[in-house]
Amino acid sequence: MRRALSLGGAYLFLALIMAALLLPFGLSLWDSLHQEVSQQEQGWTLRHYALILERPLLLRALLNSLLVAVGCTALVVVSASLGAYALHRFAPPGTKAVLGGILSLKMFPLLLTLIPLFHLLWQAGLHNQLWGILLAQGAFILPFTFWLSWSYFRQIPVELFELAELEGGSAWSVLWRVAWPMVASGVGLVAFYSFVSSWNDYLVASVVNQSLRNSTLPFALVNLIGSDQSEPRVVLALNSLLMLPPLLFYWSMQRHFRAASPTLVQ
Amino acid sequence: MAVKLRALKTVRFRRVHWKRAAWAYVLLLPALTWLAAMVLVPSLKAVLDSFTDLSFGQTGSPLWTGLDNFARLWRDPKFWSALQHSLALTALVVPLEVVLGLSVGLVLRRPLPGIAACRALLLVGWVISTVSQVILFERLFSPGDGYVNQWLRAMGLSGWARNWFQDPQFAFGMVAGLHVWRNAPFFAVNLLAGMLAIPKELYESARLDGANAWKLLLHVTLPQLRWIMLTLVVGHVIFTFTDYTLVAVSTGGGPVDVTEVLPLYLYNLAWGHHQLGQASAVGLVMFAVLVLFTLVLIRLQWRGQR
Repeated sequence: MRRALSLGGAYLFLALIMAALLLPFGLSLWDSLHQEVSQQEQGWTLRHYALILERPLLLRALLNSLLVAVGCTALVVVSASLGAYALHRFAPPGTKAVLGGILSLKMFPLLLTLIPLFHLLWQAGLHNQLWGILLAQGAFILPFTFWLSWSYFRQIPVELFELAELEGGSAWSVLWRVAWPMVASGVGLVAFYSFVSSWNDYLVASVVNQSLRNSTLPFALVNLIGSDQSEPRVVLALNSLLMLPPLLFYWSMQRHFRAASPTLVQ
Repeated sequence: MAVKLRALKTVRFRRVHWKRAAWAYVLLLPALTWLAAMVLVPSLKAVLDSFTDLSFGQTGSPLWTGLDNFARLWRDPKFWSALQHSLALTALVVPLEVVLGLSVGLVLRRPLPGIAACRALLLVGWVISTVSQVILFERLFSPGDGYVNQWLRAMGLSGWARNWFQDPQFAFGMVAGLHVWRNAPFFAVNLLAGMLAIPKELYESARLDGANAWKLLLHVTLPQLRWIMLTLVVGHVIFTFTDYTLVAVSTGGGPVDVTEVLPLYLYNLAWGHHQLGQASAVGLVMFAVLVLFTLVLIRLQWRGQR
């Protein structure tokens, strides 16, 4: 009897938690696919998604977000892999200083760094540019991804590299043909984290860019809510598109996530 | 001859060594240049700026004003109220996340049917953008046709229907709720992973000593989770205390400043009033509070360990 009660309690609690987690998604998705109650025709519709296609600025924001996130991911993955490989493979003097220094950068409040960075980007002419958004976002994603990459590379025994070099491989080919494939799942996680961080970012993008032309999706959405002409259901439809990549990545990376999640604290 | 050979060998060895180090530095160059230009230099500059009257669009170079910016903060009641709101928000949100995360983790640890699906869905709210999250919740809590207001009206509680995010009584709780909804599941996932890693023998021997479920939790589970818990608490104190987006997009600091937190106060100084020096001083205070908190917490943890 007691066992049944505790089992029932556990399921009730879980049901409440899952409802609280999933209900906001469900209601918003439902609304984005239905006409408003006041409208003549009711029922299922793709109208709100179709309306996005008629708004060049929104389409552009979608494209901007994609460009910035993909570029950011590529640059972060390559520079983090090169650096982490170098530290593990060659252990040059100052290795600990580099690792410690990068970690301490992560401790500094982002908002505080953004004040002079905004000023510097303005002077460099990168303000209101996609390049500026990409470089600024990437710089704040890099410390964590560098550490993550290092923690994966260091699992490879150094002897393996030496063996590969004795076999006649150059330093480059050892990196791309031996080391990278061995840490493929780790590199995948780094790429996932970089893409989602860039794609989801609002703060950095809103500081670096105020132009509508070069705005990324989160910034465009916040502007759309603020503007009078906004139709609430178009906002919901666009928001569904904003949520899609992180959710897809989340489900496809389940296994890696579980293995690495204790270190994913931002 | 032999000596000469040995000397030659050392030189050669050193050269090779030097070459390897040079290679390493070349490979490190992209990452380090990027970080130096975009994070390190601006961070150092921010510290220096906080002692000047730097402003955006200033003619002439900024003046060194010593501690003036900090003295001005000391005298500004809006700063104190923002600090108070930030501290209150953090003190409310993080303990809630710990308790809720722990309870969800404890339930999900039991090998019940259907539990795998729940585990797999737990982070749906954590992976989406904070902007997306606010939009989802604005649909639920909007003043006119928001679902919560509709439900309240349907239940005959029209008096309770309100503009939740702009209600002086509820806005602060709404912001706290956004934080908890986002991050409590993250606590749960990490604490669950920690719990699953605790050796079963520990529980068995404690049970042989006559421990009940409550004592098992208190004397076996929690002590084993202390380092994960420390990491999570520090990380989320930092997140809650420095978060700008959740508050800015949901309430914008309103109504009548009840959700005006330090990050918003800083943002407004820097990008509303262009007072970059003054804003940097706020950031430095935030940093100091966080460093102090982290040191105290780690210190307490060490003492508890012994």
